[in-house]
Amino acid sequence: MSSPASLKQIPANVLSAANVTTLSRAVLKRDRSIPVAGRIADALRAAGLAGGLPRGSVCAVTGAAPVALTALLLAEANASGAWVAWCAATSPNVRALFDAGWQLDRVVCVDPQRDWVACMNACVGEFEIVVTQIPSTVAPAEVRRMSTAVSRSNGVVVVVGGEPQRPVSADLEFRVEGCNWTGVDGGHLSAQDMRVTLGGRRIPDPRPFRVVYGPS
Amino acid sequence: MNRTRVAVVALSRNDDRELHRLAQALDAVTPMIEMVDECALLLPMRGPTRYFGGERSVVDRIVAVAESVGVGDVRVGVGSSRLAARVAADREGGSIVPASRHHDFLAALPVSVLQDHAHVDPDVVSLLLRLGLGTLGAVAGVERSMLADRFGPDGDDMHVLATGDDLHPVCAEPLPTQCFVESHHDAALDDAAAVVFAASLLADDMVGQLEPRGLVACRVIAEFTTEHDESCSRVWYHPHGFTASMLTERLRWQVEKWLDDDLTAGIAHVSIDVQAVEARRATQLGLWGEHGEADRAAWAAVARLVAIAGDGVRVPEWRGGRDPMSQFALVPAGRVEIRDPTAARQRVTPGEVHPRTWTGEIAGIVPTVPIDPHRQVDVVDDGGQRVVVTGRHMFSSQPGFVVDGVRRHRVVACFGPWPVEERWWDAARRRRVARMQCLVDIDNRHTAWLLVSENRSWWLVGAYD
Repeated sequence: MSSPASLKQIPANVLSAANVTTLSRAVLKRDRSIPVAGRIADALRAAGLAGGLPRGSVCAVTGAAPVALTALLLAEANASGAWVAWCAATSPNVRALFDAGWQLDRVVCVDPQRDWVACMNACVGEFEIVVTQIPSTVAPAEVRRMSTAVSRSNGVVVVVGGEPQRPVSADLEFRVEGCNWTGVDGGHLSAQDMRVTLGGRRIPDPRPFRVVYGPS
Repeated sequence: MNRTRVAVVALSRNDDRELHRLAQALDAVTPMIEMVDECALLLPMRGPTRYFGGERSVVDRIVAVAESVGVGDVRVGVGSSRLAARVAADREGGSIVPASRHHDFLAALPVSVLQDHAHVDPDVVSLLLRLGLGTLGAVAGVERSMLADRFGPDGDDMHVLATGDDLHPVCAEPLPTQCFVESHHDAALDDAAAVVFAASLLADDMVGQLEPRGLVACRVIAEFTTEHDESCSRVWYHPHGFTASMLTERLRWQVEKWLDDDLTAGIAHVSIDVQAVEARRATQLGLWGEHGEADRAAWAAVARLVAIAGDGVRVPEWRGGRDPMSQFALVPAGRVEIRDPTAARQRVTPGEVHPRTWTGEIAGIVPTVPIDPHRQVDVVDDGGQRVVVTGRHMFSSQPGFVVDGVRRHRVVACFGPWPVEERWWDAARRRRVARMQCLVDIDNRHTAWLLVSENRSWWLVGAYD
């Protein structure tokens, strides 16, 4: 696998404007990040991340509506060809993924039951995207080992939900601070307007943004 | 988008000597001349256009230069991508396609140009024709992900080309190198065979360096320099990347022709500078029914997961109906054929009658998390009276609290009820239920739930988490 080292060495100002089109097409095709659409991409771009999730990173989605945000976060990548393994005790409502634009024939849901470690070992590196919830029974050392495996792989792991003192330290963290619901006056919930903070190890200063789950 | 303008100079017949002479002469017009095929070469236009004052002047200049070295009968095509310029050069006497007409020009081209000039597999082109995609415009109109799905990386590439982009940009100046290999020869090499051998070692070295990184070189600058600093530098490009033997063949062409020129010394330095790379395609991918590496890796992983978690490994399947929580079911992966793309696609595609148009379906967004098994809760009004859905499909009183076990959550807003009679024709399986969305206050945070009322009791079935 190619390492994204060449990307890291390039100062941020070089990765801008005209240079980016040239570089991203010719040089970084393999190292291209996992594509993300819409306002999340804008937020990532504002944080200097080329509008996608860097491969080999652990992302956490926490806060008020983590599953809805995860559905939005990964829709573009899944629709453009990435397989997603949803390796968690709670599977999402597949209809919600469908509405968010997922390509469902590239989705596998795994209930890891008692062997989360073995299931994650089988998923990481094989699926471009692995979504998981870390069971409280898993030792922190195992989680660290998983993070290391992810950093050597070509994909990303998205940890959904979890406690604030969760043992994994995420490269990117999307925290849903709160939701406003639209459609309250119209007789049904038509959209969920989420206030999100983008933080994590790779983002020195957390930045807030808003994203809407639901038909726009 | 501002695309790089390029010119393709095509000879009317295959003649190595003439092409080499032309390339040497055009070095005076612009550096970084890229060899296209056995009778054409390509020039980036940005620099020369500014220098000579317009594309027409550059074209005239190229024709004049060609005539001065005895190469008559060249055709020059100018366009905004390699493909457009190459096709333009084949038009009678060559032509300039203005940037504003770039898309229209490409859209009207038959897909066979992909095969002729862009290294797209003839089988793929023939399949496109059978699918009724006869022009590049039609190909560009298909969603990119769809093409990628059907044809693998070829589909992706075709879409890029058809929409007027280049797979790898044409650059007038060298980019940061991806991989650089060189050899110095203290005893200068006079013999073409010796130089070709040295070049072939370098090509092997280059491939050996890129291979472990999963890459192949697509665009390289090959440079030969004599002891007296005469040099011959050419850009070689292949959209799918060079193997060592492919590149050696090209270097042989470059150096043999050049050594025939009147050089004053032997060759002392050979270098290959890789400008653009591409992920190596481990297998020849792309035809209908075949799959990419990602698919294969995923299937293998699913098989391993099934060995670990058994029926805990599940894939989505469309079921239909009006219940937003069960329109898609998850079925054990071991029991369906995930490797058959048509079957897999069908498995997850909603039926003809789109559920949104049915009455009784909840409006707006659906819960993201199913509560499984459903949890029995109680819905009461402010006075503590249980709320039920009446025969007229109304709440008996305004819901005030949802009682979930020992906790009481204040209802901020509630929507519905949406009554549904399911399978009314079947006495044994008929159900009469009503759904309700409600916004409850949990620890000062508003959370949305989907509740179902059946037989006068309430169940929590989904959460908008």
